[in-house]
Amino acid sequence: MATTQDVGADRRAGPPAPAAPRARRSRFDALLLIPALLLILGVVGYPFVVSVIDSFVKVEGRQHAYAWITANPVYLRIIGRTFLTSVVAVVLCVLLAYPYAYVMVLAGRRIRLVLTVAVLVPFWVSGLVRTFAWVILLQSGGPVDRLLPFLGRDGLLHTQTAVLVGLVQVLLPFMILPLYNSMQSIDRRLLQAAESLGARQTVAFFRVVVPLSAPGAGAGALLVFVTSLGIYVLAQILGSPATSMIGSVVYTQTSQLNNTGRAAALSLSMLAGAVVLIGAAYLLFRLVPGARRAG
Amino acid sequence: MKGRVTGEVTGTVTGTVPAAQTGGVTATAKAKGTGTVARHPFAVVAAVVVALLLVVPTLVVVPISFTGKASFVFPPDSWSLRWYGNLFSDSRWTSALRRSLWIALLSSVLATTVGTAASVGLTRWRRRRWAAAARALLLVPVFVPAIVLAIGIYTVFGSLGLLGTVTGFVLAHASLGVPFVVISVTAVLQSFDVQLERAAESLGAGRWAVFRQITLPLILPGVLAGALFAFVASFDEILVSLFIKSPFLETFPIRVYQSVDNDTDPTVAAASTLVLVVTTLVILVAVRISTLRTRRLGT
Amino acid sequence: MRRIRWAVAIVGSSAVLVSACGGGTSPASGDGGSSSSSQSSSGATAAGGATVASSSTPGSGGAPAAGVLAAGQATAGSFSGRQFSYSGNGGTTQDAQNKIFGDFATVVGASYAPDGPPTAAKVKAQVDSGNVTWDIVDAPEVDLAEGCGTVYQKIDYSKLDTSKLSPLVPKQDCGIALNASPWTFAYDTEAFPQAPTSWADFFDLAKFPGKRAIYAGFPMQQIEIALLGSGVDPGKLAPPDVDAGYAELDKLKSDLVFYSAGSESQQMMASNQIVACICWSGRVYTEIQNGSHWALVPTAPPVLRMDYLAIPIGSKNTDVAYAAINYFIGAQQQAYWQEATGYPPMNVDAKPKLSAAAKAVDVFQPPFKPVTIDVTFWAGDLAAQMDKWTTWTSS
Repeated sequence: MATTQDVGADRRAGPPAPAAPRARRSRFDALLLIPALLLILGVVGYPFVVSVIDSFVKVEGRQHAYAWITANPVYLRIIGRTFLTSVVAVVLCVLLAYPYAYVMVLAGRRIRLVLTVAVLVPFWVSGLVRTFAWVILLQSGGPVDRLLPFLGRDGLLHTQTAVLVGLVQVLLPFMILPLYNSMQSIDRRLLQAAESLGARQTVAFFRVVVPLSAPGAGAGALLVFVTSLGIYVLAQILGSPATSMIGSVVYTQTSQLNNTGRAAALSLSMLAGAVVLIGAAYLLFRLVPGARRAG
Repeated sequence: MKGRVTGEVTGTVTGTVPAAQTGGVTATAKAKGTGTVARHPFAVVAAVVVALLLVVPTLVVVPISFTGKASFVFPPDSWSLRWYGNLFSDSRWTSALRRSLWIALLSSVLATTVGTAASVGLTRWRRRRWAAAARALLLVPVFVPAIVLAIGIYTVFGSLGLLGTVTGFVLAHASLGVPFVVISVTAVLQSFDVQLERAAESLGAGRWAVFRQITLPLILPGVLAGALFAFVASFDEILVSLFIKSPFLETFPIRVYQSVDNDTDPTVAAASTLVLVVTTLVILVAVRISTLRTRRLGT
Repeated sequence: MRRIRWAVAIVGSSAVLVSACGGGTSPASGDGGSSSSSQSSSGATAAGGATVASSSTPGSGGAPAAGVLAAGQATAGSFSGRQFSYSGNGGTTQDAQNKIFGDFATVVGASYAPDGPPTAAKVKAQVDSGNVTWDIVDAPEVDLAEGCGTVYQKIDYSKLDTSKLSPLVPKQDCGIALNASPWTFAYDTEAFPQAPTSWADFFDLAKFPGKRAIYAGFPMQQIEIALLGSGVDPGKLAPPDVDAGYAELDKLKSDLVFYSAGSESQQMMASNQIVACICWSGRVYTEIQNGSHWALVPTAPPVLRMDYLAIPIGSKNTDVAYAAINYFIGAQQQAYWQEATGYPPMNVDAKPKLSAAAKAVDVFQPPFKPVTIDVTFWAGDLAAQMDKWTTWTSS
């Protein structure tokens, strides 16, 4: 954004440019956006509007979609479970990402290189491949089962724990990277000042690093949460009907029953819930005094 | 706050910043030394555990891909290469791999072209409020849960006859890739020296010549990074793909999913290992080269 | 700044590298969508060596209407220059279907176009728009019952020789039996001192303790099985008393696990996680081949999930479609079908070459007495029944 302002300033200060080309130029610049906007509006925007209309208008099984959802509490329960699972995943990701990102910031070059590669490799490797790896590890009689037999008689695969473990591992890079970014920009003299004033390491960490890196954590949390809500395949492979998330139900309604109105209503209900939750989290965040100062 | 969050997401989504910083670890880091870390034993232990959690579990697919038996029993009690033979001789795998590479290439090219044009437009459009709105719109695919996008795309593509077609896949994947391109290209554009363009223009160069000879070479790194992200976004896409696939047009992730779902066939482990090895090599080479370069520049 | 740009460029150029490496790993081969058509057009030998009729003599065993060829026969050149298409669900089953239909096309001189998938929505869209490109489609039993007379044509049985069709499969107004997936009682032979003998034993946790697995996907077949377990006569399953079925399933709730795909059921069998399951016979067969100590209970009636060959209303090649279906249900073609796919043949005269182990799980042979579901009931109430099932499984 700064760039554009500079341009304006420069232009005013510099030799007078002919007025007509400048006006044309600005219009031309806006035109450059058209192909991308057409693509997004055509493939994301228009279908979204169609979904919204379908969800209100379509009558499937002599019932409007939202009436059907209210008549079957199981679907609201599954949406609730989806939120709960995603929130737990976010919390676990925050807890694991903080020390990792902190060490990344403090470490010397070599260690930081190793840590960076350790985040980037899974970030780039197909999430599906990593999910499949968990199938091998968690299956009954598999490595985890043999190392930690007390965890469950039949292995952990197809349990809530398996879904969470998979989610956290797949989504962790989305938390670590923004957190690292925002921690990196913290002026280290602040930390040194805190420590020189006699604050202990942990105190310095919680009073200085945590509040100042909160925007990064917020960004990571948003990404992890949104991605987790939309997940279907991972929950299908690692979970069971008792842990199913909304993605599975939407997929069944679409592919098996061809009730696209109901599928749309389900996914939009979840989206509405997500917007409310994220809004609430944002307000809560602003109420925390330390965070507000930092933000 | 909102702005900062978006900024952070932006960095993450492209991942370019940390990638660049591995190369760019500089004097400040050196000055700190390792002493600072050593004073946080708990953080270090936690970081090591997390690093292991990130990397090690995935490696389990490697030994499984060399198993002698048609099962996922770990560790395998006999060894063979036959799953790799299967992978390269089974037309379902090879055609899925070829299809995915082709679709990823096309959608990456499409996303990069429209995304780069849009980024140039975004940074120059003088109605800032409109530009901000347009930018938000272009980033929507990242902030809406994939299942919400998938159901809409399924309905509309169904009525247009685009389900199970390469065109359908490319359009869907490209629109998922656009945010990545916009993010990484605008990042580079913001640090771009406009004076250069103006100098060229004042010397009489045409708009297109200026773009091709001045602007493009300077923003090329951002464009390439965006293209790479759009490529991976397509190559790894499963959720929307599941809705728009047909048995006659399956992508690589769909094949992996169906194999995990339907067979107990270690060919999927061979395929996973292949993806794992190629990706890791690419990252290591990139990091290695960029550190070498840094060292030369630094000393 | 320059440094950062450089590093980014390297990461960027790796995209090209990824695509190049990936590209190198996939050797050129027939592409998935059209490989089958090339195979069928060059198919010189007919499936299972099917005979080519030189005259229109009816088959010896049956009594098809005058002028109708015996099942499995086709008149050389009778449809020369014509075309027909079949829409299937891909995979090994469609490979076998393409082989049989391709052979038919070669004999009669027509050209054959395989396609798919024939989802209910797509078939309906074609019929509604009047632009029907498919002449034969694979229709699952519930879809068939739902669309009979509105999407799928009523079958004119006088144009087919159905005298040898298996009596185990009920005739449908709008389709000819294509494929049966049997849901069977499978158990771990080392888990119980004495072998279970009926579906009642599946629901008897006192006599046969241990975990059982059932399929998570849908209630059809499994509700019927629960009813059989509660003592309902196999002949009195239509219409099923769904609530009684759930009551029976509730008895297992404490020891029930779900599988959501066939491979999962196999893993559960192999890893001793369960002692019994309602499983597809093909999966049990594979596990037995893998060396697991599992077996079927032949005296517990398998419940079939059926697919049918159907002709969409508005097909432009109905005559070719009838002749092709008549050819498809011949004894030799059906023997080939079972050898290629492992699914039971629909023609009672089919003599496939099977191993002893494969014969032991062939549910169309005695002592198995397979039953089918009331498709009209399920088709009429599918969405609401799915809600009920989701509610029950996810709690």
